[in-house]
Amino acid sequence: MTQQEIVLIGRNMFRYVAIVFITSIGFAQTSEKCVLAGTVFNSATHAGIPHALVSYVGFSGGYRFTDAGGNFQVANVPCLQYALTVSKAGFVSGQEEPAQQLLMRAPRNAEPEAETSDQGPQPPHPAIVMVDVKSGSPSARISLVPVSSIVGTVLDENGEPLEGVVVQSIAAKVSLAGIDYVPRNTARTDDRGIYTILGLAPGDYLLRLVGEVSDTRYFMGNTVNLSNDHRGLPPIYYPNADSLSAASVLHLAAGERTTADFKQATEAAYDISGQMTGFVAQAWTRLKLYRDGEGLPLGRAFVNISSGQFRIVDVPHGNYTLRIEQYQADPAKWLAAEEQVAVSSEPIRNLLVPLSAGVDIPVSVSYEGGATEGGMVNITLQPGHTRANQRQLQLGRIPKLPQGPDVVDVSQVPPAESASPANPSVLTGLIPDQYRLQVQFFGHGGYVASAKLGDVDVLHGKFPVGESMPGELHITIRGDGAELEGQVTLSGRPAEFAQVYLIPTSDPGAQVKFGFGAEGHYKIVGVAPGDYKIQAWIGAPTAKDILTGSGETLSVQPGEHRSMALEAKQASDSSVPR
Amino acid sequence: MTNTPASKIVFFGVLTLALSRGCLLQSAPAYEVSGIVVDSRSHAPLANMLVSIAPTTARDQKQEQVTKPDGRFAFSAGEPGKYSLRVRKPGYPAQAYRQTGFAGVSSAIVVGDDQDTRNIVFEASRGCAISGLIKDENFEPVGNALVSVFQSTVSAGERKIISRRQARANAAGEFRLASLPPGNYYVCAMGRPWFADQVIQLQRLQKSMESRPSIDHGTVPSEPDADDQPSTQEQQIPEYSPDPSLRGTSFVTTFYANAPTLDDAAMVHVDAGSEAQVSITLPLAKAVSVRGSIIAPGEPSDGRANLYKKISDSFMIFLHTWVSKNGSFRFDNVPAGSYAIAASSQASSGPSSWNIRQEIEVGGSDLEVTLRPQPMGSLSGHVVFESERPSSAANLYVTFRNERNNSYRAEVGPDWNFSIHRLPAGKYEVVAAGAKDYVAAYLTGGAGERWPLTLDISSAETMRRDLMLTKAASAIDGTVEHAGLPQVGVLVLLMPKDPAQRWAYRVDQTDTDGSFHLATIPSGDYSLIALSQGAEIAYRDPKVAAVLAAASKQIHVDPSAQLDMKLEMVAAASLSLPSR
Repeated sequence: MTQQEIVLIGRNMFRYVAIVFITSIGFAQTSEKCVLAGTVFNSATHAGIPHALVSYVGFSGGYRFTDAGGNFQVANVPCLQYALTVSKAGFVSGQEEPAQQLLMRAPRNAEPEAETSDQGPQPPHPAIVMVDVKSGSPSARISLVPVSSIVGTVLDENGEPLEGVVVQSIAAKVSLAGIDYVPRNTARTDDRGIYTILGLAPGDYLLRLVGEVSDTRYFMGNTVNLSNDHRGLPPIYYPNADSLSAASVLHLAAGERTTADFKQATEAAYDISGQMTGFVAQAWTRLKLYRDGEGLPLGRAFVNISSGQFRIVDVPHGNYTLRIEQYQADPAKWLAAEEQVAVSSEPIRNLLVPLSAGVDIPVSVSYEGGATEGGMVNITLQPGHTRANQRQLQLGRIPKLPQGPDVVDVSQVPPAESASPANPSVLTGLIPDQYRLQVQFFGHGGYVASAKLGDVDVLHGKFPVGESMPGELHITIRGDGAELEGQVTLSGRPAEFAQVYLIPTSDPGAQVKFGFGAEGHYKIVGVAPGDYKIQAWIGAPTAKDILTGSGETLSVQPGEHRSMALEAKQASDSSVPR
Repeated sequence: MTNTPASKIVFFGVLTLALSRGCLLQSAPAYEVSGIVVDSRSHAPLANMLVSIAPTTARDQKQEQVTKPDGRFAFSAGEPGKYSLRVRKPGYPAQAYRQTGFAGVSSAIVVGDDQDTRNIVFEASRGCAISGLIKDENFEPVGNALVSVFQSTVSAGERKIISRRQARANAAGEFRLASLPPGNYYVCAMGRPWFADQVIQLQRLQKSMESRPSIDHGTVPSEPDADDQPSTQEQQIPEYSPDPSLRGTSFVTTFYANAPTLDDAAMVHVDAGSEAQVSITLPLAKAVSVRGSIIAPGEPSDGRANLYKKISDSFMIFLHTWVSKNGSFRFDNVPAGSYAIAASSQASSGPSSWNIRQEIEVGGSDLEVTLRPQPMGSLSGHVVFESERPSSAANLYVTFRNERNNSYRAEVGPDWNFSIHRLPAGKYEVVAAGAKDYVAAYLTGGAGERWPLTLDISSAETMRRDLMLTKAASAIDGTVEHAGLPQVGVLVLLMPKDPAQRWAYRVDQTDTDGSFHLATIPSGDYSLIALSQGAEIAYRDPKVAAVLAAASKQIHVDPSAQLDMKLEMVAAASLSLPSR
């Protein structure tokens, strides 16, 4: 008898790693015992990694630290399959994130937008491998990839060190939608102008040099006592570019230490001071200044949360958007404002910034083309800046999953948490920001045909929500989705648990459907009409696999029922558990 | 010498003059303040040094320039008077002319017809650095370790150990604390093993497996209508096997060199511009969890809790967590030691807000604590005077400042009474403000008791204390000479005969014309001395005070006296001062 067990690891269901492994209960009842042994080694030097943490889970579980040679050994474990999680500070898994996980995340903006604050240490990214322990089976070999680093010196026009300026690393990662720029570790120069960015997973990076950047700080009284030098740096991308697109890409090999020096003239810089209006006194407040054309903030901001006065120091000339956010805990409420600021050759004083508590957007859904209201529409609005202010709305109920062994659509995992506003069909308190919308429909054969905010199509790309009433969000679900099914084979034989990806050719980042079934049979329902590329994979393909992989293209017609045989390809990293 | 009433008067006069001559400024003769900035050790000129000059009484009238490649600077000062000259650049912390230490007094540049201000040599002290590596017993780096340096120094005449600075080690365990003043330091590191969170999670998994009666496939959120596996088989509980060699999941806070406390620690000495290398090995130790519940009046609300580790009377942030709506929180992986929990509600005011701070001792077993909001103390009393009192209590305040530098202020009423309510528990220093020519001397009760100017608020009761102010309207002006020449940068120290009069000590440093100014002096008997090297002298130490007094000029200061004195410089090295 075979039993499937899904172990969910992690605090958040949205970020889970699903490990499906098969244990034979009958076999476990036998008392046969084996030795679980292995070696953890450095992928670049092939040397064993001492004191790495290896945990195993299966019919039994436990953990060991490797010895000086990178070896570990656990005697007397039932001879079965185990999932090993292997980690070590200074090393990352060589496994790329499976595209499947990318798809299940909330929608994301492609520009870098993460916080600039000094991040704490991140736990090392573990490698997860499956091992089948049998009597006399060879010991497992697990490789970890040593992290890379970037070091350098930042000097000014006189060759003097610049102290306390920030260098940010930005990873350029291939995603289904193209390249994602993801901010990574940040470093500050010391009194010698030296910065050191450590702990970077090997890959492609850009570097951004900004002046003194810090989190918003609070002050009391009428003025902040600062001895700022009124000098600043416009942001520069390594080596000397003024935009992300013109920057040089640094290719970091595993364990490599790359040097990247900057020589940059400082220029006169000015303070922006002003007053918030309509704010909540004593509430958490954050000020961010974005230079036009940039997704990462800059500047050092100070705010008095009693009086609403603020000051941002040492801003070089240029055009900016000042964004202020407030969060009141009890009752929970966000406020925000965006203000255009042009800095030329003098300080800006008495800037009045009115905060607003946001707008409400009613939501309506219409069902067309044979769709019925039997399903659930899940709406997620992800703000570009105030990430914690995500809005989620569910209309209708999730239908019972279709039974049967042949179709499991993993994308139909219901969200972990959902807001329950007083009015179930209104998105409330949307503060000014750039938003992205994700609409999922869980129902038989239906698909999301359009989403319009007023007259604007918001199903694809970013859209702004400002202070004025943007109108109603109207979603159209159509029931004339197509159905695709067929056999998946690998070298002529039915492929077990193949994943089938259906990628819209016009917008590869959006609405990828996938499904997999036992005995090599797949079925995908509710496919919107349009042009697609279709691929079948064994293992967990990465975004790169999917983008570079060939696949049959097809034009799907409304209501079509199509049968297609597919030949599966092996994903580039087949060690990732399915 | 800065900001004294006398020089303010001088300055206002100057300002009036400047305004009246505003249109003539271009043709008016200006005074040149120029010179060179050199490194204090190598005496090499320092280029690109940011130099600023400002009248000591008007810091906002600052002029700035950058030294030339030969280290030279030249300012034009419009009017005679005293000016503060400051420099800085990366590697050289901001410092004033002849500043002793990095935080002490400095000498003003005196500008006038009889002063040579064209040949100033500013010896800039390069900052010191302490750098090194924090590693574990396997010689592996402890990333993100928190490194704190404590300086053994003399502050206001007393030898103290003060927490000077903190830095985080990088992922490679390397740290660097730069721009430190020269001196003697203790270095301390604390950290968290990289595997701590993962192992704690595994230990929880082990606990949950061991507490389960039989195998339960419900680790999976299984479909209720799924084809349930009949639990008929007799199955053994799967064994969970932790690594038997693991010694712990937390690091013991450790001082250089491998000492558990500051008392056992080795002192690290750094001179101006030098760098000391310090490595610390953190041993692993077992740790426990600290669970807390907050019981606050009013509606419950969520918030944050920080755990601070107590190291030599300082509190260093160790862990932080969230407090749930029902008031409970939990810190995992806390090694034994002394800590303080500081928690506050998300809402910072209103009926659901709370603010708690409590010190705890963590030992070898899990701890549960119940925290209640601190009692808010009250204090009331009168302002009393040793001799004559001012004509009115207008603008007179009593200020309470606690260890966290929060100030609370009470206005003194027309009948000289004051009261303050809702003082959070803690230790406070009491000062008086707004009473010109008076200083706070001590706290007193009805029976003539004398308590120092500190308060310990620990209950909600109302304390009664009177604050004794003493008139301090006298001043001493003068110059310090040696071999008939005025001496620059000399420490002038005025010590009361009765060391219990802690409020009566006065200190200044001579300016470029050898002058000094001591103000707001209460009447009484004093010792007055001019010392060549004074920064590191613990003059409040009775043994040191005795030696200093023997070499001092003994003077009596009458109420509202304005004394003028010429002092001969005493070489500090010529005194046999006790070394600590």
